[in-house]
Parts: sequence; structure tokens; C-alpha cells
Amino acid sequence: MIVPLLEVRELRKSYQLTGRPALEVLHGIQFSLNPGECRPICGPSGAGKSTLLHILGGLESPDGGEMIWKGESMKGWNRTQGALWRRGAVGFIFQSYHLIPDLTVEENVRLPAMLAGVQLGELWEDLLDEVGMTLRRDHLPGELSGGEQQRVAVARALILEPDLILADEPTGNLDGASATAVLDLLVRMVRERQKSLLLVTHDESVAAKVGNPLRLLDGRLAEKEQ
Amino acid sequence: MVAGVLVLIVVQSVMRGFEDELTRKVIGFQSHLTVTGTGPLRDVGPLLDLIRVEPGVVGATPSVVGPVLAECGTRISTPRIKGWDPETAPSVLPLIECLVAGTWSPGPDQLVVGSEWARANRAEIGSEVNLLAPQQIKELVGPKSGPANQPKKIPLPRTFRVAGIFTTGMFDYDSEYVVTDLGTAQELYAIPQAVHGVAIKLDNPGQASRIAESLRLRLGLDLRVLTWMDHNQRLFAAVAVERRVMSFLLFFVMGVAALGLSGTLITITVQRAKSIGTLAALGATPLQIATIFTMYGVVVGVLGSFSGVVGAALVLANRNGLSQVIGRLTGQELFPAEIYHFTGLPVRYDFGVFVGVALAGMALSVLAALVPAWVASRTEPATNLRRA
Repeated sequence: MIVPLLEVRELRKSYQLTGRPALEVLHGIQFSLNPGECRPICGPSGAGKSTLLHILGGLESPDGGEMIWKGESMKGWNRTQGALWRRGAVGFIFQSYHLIPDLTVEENVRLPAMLAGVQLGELWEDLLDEVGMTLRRDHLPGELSGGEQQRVAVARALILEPDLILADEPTGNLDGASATAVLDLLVRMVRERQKSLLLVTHDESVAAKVGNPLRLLDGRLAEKEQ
Repeated sequence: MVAGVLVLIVVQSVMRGFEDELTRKVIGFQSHLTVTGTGPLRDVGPLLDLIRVEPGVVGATPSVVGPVLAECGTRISTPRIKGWDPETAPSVLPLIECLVAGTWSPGPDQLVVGSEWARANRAEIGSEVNLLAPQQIKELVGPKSGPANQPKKIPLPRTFRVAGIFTTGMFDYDSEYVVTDLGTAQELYAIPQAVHGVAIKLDNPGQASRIAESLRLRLGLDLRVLTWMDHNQRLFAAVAVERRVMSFLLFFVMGVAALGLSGTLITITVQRAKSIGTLAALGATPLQIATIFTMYGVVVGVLGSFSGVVGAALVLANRNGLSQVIGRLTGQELFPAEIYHFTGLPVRYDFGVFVGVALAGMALSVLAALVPAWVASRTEPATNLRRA
């Protein structure tokens, strides 16, 4: 029997709004993700996709429910434990790239390794080469196009070879050609490395390229995962 | 932070220099110890011998000092007259070296006067000065003595001429003292063969308290031994209080700078929320994020303190030139030599002050960075990413 990479049980999240009733965003989300599995999380705007992704990556605390990583419950982890887990296990790709503006392409790609105190060898150069950014390694993010920035973000997400890549609308800010190129690159690199991918998108065509979608509507999955 | 460190070091150094200068002048122109009794001391010879054999004592002179009423031209004043024993006084009081006009010849009809007193009373070499001693004033205003059928005697003031003028650089001395010979002072005070006390000079004025204690034990309880510190207690206490108060106030300058730094860093945490959230998403621990912001404080503190220390050293090295420039720009001399008697602005370069103020600046900067660092590290990464 395969131990799921990530299991999510009855995940709930609401936001307390001033002077108004709490806004429930996620209602008992439940699914599992196997090692090497790629799944898009689809749904319209406001369905709770990004919130779910943030919670799955430990960037936000759920109000209830449980997450199990490789068979171990993550319940009760403190912020430092969460950060250390994220560092080794998760690679993030954001819609707005979120590169550090003062760091060069090379420094942005190497940043997770610097935070982890890991010596990389030539891995980062291979990754930059693979995403086609070797010639722009000394450039600042502000000097790159959106597609180029997202390719740097892909390289950064994979630099420590995490088991899970979480991508939040990675093509949302890109034009058609760039979006296709970045998505193809991301999916190819993830599959070649046999990593798992959860990709949030509202675009069905994007979802179709990734895998069997999890459909989120009003904070609920369309069909509960068993 | 630079300004706070700079100003605090400059003020501390100048104030300490001022204290040193004051001390140097006090111990230079004042006896280091004085021995007095409950009344005039008679037959002071054996007492002087006893004092002179005390280790650390380099000179002792009988002293008659007290107020007199003086008339110089149309001016009336109340200086203190000092009786000068030419045999022993020069070994205790270096007043002869301070002569700036005339000759050092205090005598039965000659005075050597302080320059400030001379200026205030328009006295010059050769000017006539009439002195009335307290005993004479007492006779003047007291009940008539002697047979009832004889008229009351009116004491006449004693007339002197100014033979010399001295300047010690201490305003109090220069404005208060007129010097005559010991015998004349004894006559004026009606204490023939007696003195008010003994003035003592030490080879090391810093040992005054210890030697005073030793003399107290040897001379007995009837005699009072006071040190130069006892005589100037209020003056030194005032200077010390002023230095402490100024330091305390100026410390707030650094406090305000630290608050400014804290505010700047809090603004940075808001402006850089996206980067902070990204760092957290990439696996930066709360401690690492807090460290980044604390390092801001450390860098500002180190650079600010270093620049402040260098700036203070430059200002102190060029203090007299700067003081002249400010004086020219404002049209007012900052430290008039005729009042302060400083050839330059005094300063004491104290390594401890430089290091202490720099360390305080650094500590404040780090403390100022702790709050934003804590805020940045405690905010949920998703909250920071949403702010972006």
C-alpha cells in the first residue's frame, strides 16, 4: 500500500470580519496526494483555492482539520517546525512570482539553499540552464519579463528538490505564449523529477495539462476524495 | 544616531575637561588642606612643625584671611584680605607666579590685588585703597568704651597703595582677594601673635583626604582639618550634577534616534511584507526573519556609532576653530577668555566615554530593531503575501 505524500482531513478555515459574521472559506476539505502525483485545484475566483494552497504549504493556519505528511500528523507543529518542513519538502510558485527585488536571478534561485545552509555545487547552474535563464543570471527581477521571472521562480522552487510543488495560478499574469511555455516547463520538470504538484488555476485548459482536477466550489470539494 | 553619539561624546568630553581644568586651577591656587581651630590659633610655631613632618606635606604657612571693607576712589567693596608670610607662603600658594602688573610686595601699606577686583574698582598700580577691618567696624557701631566723660574714639581706615595685580584665572580669587603681609593682616583683625589657621600644600593633592585624616588623628579633636574638596564641595557637585543632567538629556537624543529607527524599520516591515512572506514561504524560520531585521539595527547602530565617534573626535580635535567660527557667525564669543580664563575649550579624551557612548548607541539601535523584528517574525506568511 502506497503511503500518501499528503493527506488532508476535514480542513476548515474562516475569516473573522470586523462587525460582520465570520466568513467561512473552506468547509471540511478532504483529499490525498500520492508521491509523483500532479493535480490541479480548479474553481472560480473566491472559491478558496489560494487559501487552501496557503494552508497546505503551512503559510496559514487552518481553524480545524488535520494534515498528514508522509503518514505523520502535522497537528500541533509550531511556526519553526512548519518553516523547517516547508524548507525541505515544499517549493512554492506564486502568480506574482514573488522574487526578492534586490537579489539577482542567481541569488534568488540560490536563496532557499542559503536559508537552509545547504551547499549546492553546480545544481543551481544546471537549473538555470534548464529554465533558459543562464544568460540573465546577473539581472535583477525588475529587468525581466513576467515569463522570465516565473521561470526563475520555477527554478527556485525546485532548487532543494522538494517532494511537493505548490503553484498558485503560475500562469495567471502571463500572456498566452509565455503562459504555455512556463506551464509546459513546470509540468515537464516536475514529472521528470517525479515530484508531486498541486496547481491552483481557474483555467480549465491549464488544469487539463496538469492532471485529474480537484474542483473547489464555495469552499467545498465537488466530490470528496476517499 | 550619528548626531546623538557625536553630541553626547563631545559634551561629556568637554564637561570632563572643564572639571579637570577647574580642579587644576583649584588645586593650583588654593591650599590643599587647611587647619583651623574654634578661634584664632596662638603660638602656631609648634603646630607648623608638627604639620611639616607629616609625609606628603611639602609646605605649611600661617593664614589670616577674612573680609574687610574697602574704599578705592568712589567705589566701596568687601574683598577678603589675606596675610602673606614671605618666608612660608610661597611654598604653599603660587600667587607670585600670577603677578601680571607691578611688584609682589605686600606690606604694611601695600596691597597686591586680584585683577577682577582691580577692574571692578578701577584700581591701578599706585591707587589708594582704604581698608576698615571688622574689629574697627565693631568699634564704630558698638557702644562707647572707656570713661563716660571722654568722647567715643572713631577708628580710621588704614590706607594702602596697590603695588601689584595678580591673575589666577579663577574669577572668585581674582575678584575677592587683596593681599598684605601677615603682620598687617593680624593687626587689622586684632589678633597679634595669632592666626586664623594654617594652609598646607601637598605633593599629591589627590591624597588630601588620607593626609587630612592622618592629621586629624595627630592634631587632636580641637583642630579642624579641611581638604580642597571640602572647600569646593558645592562647586564640584554643581559641575558633576550639570554633567549628569546634560548626559541624561542628551541620552534622549539617542532615544529619539532609536525611536526613529524603530519607526523606519516598522515601515520597512510593511513595505517589504511581500519579501518577508516570500522568505517564510521559502523556509525562513521566524528566528531567521527576526535576525534579518535585528541586523538592520546592528548595522545602523554600528555605522551610526562609528560615524558618531569619528565625528566627535574630529569636532573635539577642532573645537577651538569651530568655536571661533560659531563666534564669528553669531557675533558672540562662545567662551570669552576674560570670563572663563581658558586659552582654549578644555577637553578630556576619555576612552571609556567614547566606548560607553558608542556601545549605548549600538544597544539602543538593536533594541529599536527588536520590535519590528518581532512583528515581522510573528506575522503569518500568508498575511504578508496578501499585503503584497
